[in-house]
Amino acid sequence: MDDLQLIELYFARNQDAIRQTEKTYGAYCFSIADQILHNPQDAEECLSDTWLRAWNSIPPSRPARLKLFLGKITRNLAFDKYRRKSAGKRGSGEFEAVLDELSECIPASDNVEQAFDAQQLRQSLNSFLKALPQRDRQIFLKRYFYAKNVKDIAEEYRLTANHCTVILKRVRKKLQAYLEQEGFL
Amino acid sequence: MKKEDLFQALGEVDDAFLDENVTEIRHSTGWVTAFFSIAACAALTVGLIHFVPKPVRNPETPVSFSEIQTTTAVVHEIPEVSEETAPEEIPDFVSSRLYLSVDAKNYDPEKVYSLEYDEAENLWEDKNWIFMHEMQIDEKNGYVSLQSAYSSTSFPAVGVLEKTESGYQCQISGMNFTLERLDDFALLCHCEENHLLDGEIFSSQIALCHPFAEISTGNPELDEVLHQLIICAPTLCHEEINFECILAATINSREQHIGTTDAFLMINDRLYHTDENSRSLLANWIRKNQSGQAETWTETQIQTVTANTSTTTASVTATAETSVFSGTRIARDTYPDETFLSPSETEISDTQSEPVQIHYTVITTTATTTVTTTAPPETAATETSAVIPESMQNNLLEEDGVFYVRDSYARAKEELQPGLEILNCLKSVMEVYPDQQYAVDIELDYTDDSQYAFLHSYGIVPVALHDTDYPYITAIVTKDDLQNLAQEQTRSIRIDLTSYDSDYVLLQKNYIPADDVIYAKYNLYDDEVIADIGEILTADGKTGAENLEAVRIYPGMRYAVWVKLGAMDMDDWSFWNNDAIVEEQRQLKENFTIEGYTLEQAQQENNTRILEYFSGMTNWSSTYVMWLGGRLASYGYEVVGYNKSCNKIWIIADEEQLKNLPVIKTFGYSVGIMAYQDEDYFRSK
Repeated sequence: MDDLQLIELYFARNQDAIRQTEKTYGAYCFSIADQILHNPQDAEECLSDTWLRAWNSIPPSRPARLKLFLGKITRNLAFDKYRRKSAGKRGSGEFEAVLDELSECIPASDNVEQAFDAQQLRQSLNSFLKALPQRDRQIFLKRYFYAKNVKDIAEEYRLTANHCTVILKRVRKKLQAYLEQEGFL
Repeated sequence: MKKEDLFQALGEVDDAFLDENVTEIRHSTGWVTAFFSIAACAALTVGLIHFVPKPVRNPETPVSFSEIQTTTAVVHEIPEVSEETAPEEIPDFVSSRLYLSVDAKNYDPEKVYSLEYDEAENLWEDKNWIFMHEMQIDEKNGYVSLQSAYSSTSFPAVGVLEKTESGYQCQISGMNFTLERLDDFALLCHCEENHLLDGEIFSSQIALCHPFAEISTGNPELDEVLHQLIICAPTLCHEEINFECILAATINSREQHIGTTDAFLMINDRLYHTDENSRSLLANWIRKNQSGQAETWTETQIQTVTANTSTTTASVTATAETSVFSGTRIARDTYPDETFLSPSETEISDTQSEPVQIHYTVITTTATTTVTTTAPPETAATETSAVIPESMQNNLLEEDGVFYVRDSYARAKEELQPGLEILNCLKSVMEVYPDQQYAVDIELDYTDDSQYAFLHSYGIVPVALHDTDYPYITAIVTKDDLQNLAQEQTRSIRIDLTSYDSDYVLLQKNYIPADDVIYAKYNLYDDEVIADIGEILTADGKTGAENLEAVRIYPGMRYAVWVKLGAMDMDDWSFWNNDAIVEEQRQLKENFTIEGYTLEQAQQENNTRILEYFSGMTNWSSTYVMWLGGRLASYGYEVVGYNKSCNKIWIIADEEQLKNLPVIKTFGYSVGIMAYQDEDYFRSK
């Protein structure tokens, strides 16, 4: 079933929409959640919430890319769950490393509460990403959107892990400079 | 903003970015350009052609055919060509013995992979498709050059061929190529994967098919010229060929740019071309213009290089050495496609009636644009003590009074001779600019730890090491330094200018002593250096600093290093919740000072700089990093401070201490040399 047909099921309020969505994009969404939570049960919970969110938002939304629409929901839900679970405890793990790396883009002085325009930040990030070479952008998103580990990303792009690390480091540095230039930092 | 905010914001990026995938990169170049790369690779002739660097095209001097001297070879017959069918007379090079490169893991050396024309585009769906690289091989002079077709930066590289029983092997920028001769007409090129930072080199096995082995025209001068051209018609090898002329041209086709140099081959009075589209368009244009524009095409368009052979040959001879070392710059990277073709060039269309300026290059071994005109090309400047050869000039780079080259020259494979050998590029630069400094690669006859002491004894301080595949040490020297070194008679030394864009970061590896402690001039935890320092994060929890380069270069010193934790064992809650540990952490925080300031003092004085450092203590990891710093101090380490984000510790330690960093609730560390004035770090006392 293609996306158009799937979306029509939602619009028709046909509950088969959820089953088909899970069948088509379940694995994709699960991997996103699992990369963040590293817990299959928690990841499954995220998926259930994702389908519910999708059901509640389509209609009126008519996503152009259903896969990415769902992926983003899952990512947000997984991240929220992660934050709730780790509030009382800090741990190691791949996702923590991802956040840790991102913290390099933000000077310590900005680790305090500081107002910023979230909408503007999103737009700026899109502009920043657009200016990146395609490969670097993809690698960056694989790491900081999908929270994939460096080794897997390196393998996908036929790079060594070191090379991949270097690319990520460079992009983070560019991002920091860009955020400073844009006045977010 | 917090890191979590950034992560969340990244969750809202445009779908278009998330929708990209790897194969799209390959598609975007267009199959023709890519195919040309295939053809170019396939067309490399080992044993026939000399090293042929692509000339740097000068967009200022387009040449029209009317300027071309003609002597022979008129197109008598243009084969009927259509875009739908390829007439029999025109070889379909696609179905020729063109071996594809396939994924090294799946490669079956017993199997011949062939490509059918129609399947060309499908290949791009195959994730195992390997990027083709343009490789030029000069068997006679033993050099090979490689140009990535898809690197975003110019990546010409030159290596030296070594004969083996089955073919050749060479190394280019740390990448090993084995060229195995399959038969008289084909080489199979194996390439190992490398991790060159900027180059995008992948594992590849490229089969090269060259058509003109063992063929001689009987005209030695013409043979010489043929050797200089890239010929892209691999199936013509079996024919008895009467070469009248060979022409390489670029045509701005209606459909797409053929932005690189294509080869037209005139064989037995027939015009062939690698690319069917271009072939048909050109043929159509030729046909249309034959009657009306005879003077501009039929009489003038075919340039026989025979007339210029002697000059070309002479220039080859005169610049043989330099042309081998230079001219690897590929026009495509030097000039974008838009300027590669003359701005005045128009597209060829079926209704074209006016003569079209077709720009062409006859590829010779000179590194400059070779456009054959009535006047013989200028003889390449011979090297004199007061002149830097033109071919080298474009490759030189000077920064802050230090000379580099942009692209490394081939590493000579001859044995080192006793004494000091200064290679040509450096020699020329020193003669013209005697009072500057030169960033050089120093190759010594044996490399062990004594090499540093040896160089130190001549006042030469190494600043970097090359990739381990190359036993070179880099240093910044003056003419005086080298004159001193020239007195050395017992060791063998070879020196040449180093590449600015080599696989290390030259400037960032300057080590400087301060108070008997070795620092770096610049931050060394940045990108490139991470790869060189060597992470010491190991699965079994052991730590070590064996790869710390500064230790090798300056043994016996103390080193200012940053220590970054690997993952900490945060799940051991019985440990962290232990009252004693909790109290320890509390006391550390309470008594924490930065440059002698407590938090309260900094607040009272409104010392914003210090307060900024303190704000880093809100980072979640600070508690644990500080605790670890306290533990390291208890083990006798001199803990100087932390970084702003408080996830790295600044210590001063000797080699023994670095090698024995204790594993304390961490899964290892990574270490690097501290920059002398690194504002990201503060002193905690």
